[in-house]
Amino acid sequence: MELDDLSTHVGEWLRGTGSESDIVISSRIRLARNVDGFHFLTKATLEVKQELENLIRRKLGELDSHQLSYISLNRLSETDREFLVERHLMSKEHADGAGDRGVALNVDETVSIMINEEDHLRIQGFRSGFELERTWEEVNALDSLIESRLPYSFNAQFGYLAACPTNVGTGMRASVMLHLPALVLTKQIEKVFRAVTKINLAVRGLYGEGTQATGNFYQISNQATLGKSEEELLNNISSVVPQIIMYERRERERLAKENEKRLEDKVWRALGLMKSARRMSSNEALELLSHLRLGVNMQILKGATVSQINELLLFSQPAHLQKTLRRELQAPERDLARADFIRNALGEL
Amino acid sequence: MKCDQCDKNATVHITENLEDKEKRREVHLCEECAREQGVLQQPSLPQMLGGMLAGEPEASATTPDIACSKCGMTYSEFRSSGRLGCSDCYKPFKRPLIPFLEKVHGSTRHTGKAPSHMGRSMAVEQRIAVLQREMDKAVEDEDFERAADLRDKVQELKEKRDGTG
Repeated sequence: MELDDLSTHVGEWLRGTGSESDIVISSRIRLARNVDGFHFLTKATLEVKQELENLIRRKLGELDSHQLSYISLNRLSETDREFLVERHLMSKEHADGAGDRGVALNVDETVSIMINEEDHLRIQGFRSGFELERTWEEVNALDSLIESRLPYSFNAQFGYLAACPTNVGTGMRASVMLHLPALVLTKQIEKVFRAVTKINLAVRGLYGEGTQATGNFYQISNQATLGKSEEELLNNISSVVPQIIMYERRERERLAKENEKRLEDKVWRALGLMKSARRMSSNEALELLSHLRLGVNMQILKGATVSQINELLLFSQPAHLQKTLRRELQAPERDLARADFIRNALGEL
Repeated sequence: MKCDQCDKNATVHITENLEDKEKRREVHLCEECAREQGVLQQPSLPQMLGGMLAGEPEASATTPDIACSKCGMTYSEFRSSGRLGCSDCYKPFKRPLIPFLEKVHGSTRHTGKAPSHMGRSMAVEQRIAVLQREMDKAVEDEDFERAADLRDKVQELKEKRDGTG
């Protein structure tokens, strides 16, 4: 599989399908694992890192049940690495890292395994919509399969041993990405987050740790990884997400009833700007597309679909834009190209 | 760029959207002033580790730095990076790690998935722990019927485990 094969469509997480997909963008679960008998990467020499990459790559290649393509990051351009980050197939840290490292993924992008990131393996599963249970079944099965060929560092008291003690135990971080524009508009979002952090869940932006919540996209994930079973940790998230969905729906209804014109104005202005602008940053595009997405979900904007908006969300990101246009562009030129790209895409609306 | 409050370098930059949507206010602060003003509430992991482990005797300057005999990672190295060097590090650093794990995870014992080679004993132990927690929850919710059911199940598993059943 070549990266260009991916650059013509959106990945699994933006497919716009699955349960509650008007509000829940995607479900993701990752497991941190280290191969037994090797130092963690903080203390691994260049030779050991290379040996680990080769070993893991070979073992993953033996899995008949999962046709994984391996991408070695050393040979990839900065734009291509950024492209994989924008698709959520790997972290920014992994893109910016050094030395022998890679990512293994399947063609429909429901699985991606980072090799030599912070831990030897970071096994990730994705599903569009609110599908934590299904995602866990898939990731758990893959993890067991890998473990049968590649024994992990494990200890009876602390469970799966991770380089960072905040990940020890299950090594699991499960997250659900939500689009919450109405809660932001009505300024109720802070209240929701205070409640969420009280039950030991974390709230993050679109691209994970340390990122801003651009475009009203938020990720809710578990903080603790030790002391509870994977199912219990998932239940904790699964019990709170439907409540957030309910609040968001309630605020949408309230807006439609009490502030119909304000809401419509927001959506149509966003469309107007995107159909006319000659320069647009990726943040502005995200903000405006977020309003369009709300407009489509609330049937203010007819003739557009959520999956079309999702596609624009992804393809207006810097690396995707450059891959689509097949040339490297500096930020100021990108803003011009992005405005053109969006104008063309929305021409019919 | 200098901090708005003192002469140090500003590392925290905040753009506030004011009521009037067209207007924004920019604030630049150094880490210290930001923390003082309550803007920076989440300390970084090494800071958190450092702060939490500071009270530990191992951390004081007078005691020699402990090190992992397998990978050579020293305790002070771990404190500043927040990352361990190998799976063995969990042994020499166990004492200071325990209160840290307690604080971050609310627990110091794994009860989740285990490799199949760990055998049934681990699985039974974990099942008991999960059921016990469910039982506590049921009592809290005053669902005593469910709590009693769970208690019986736990008892049964314990008897099996100890061979007294």
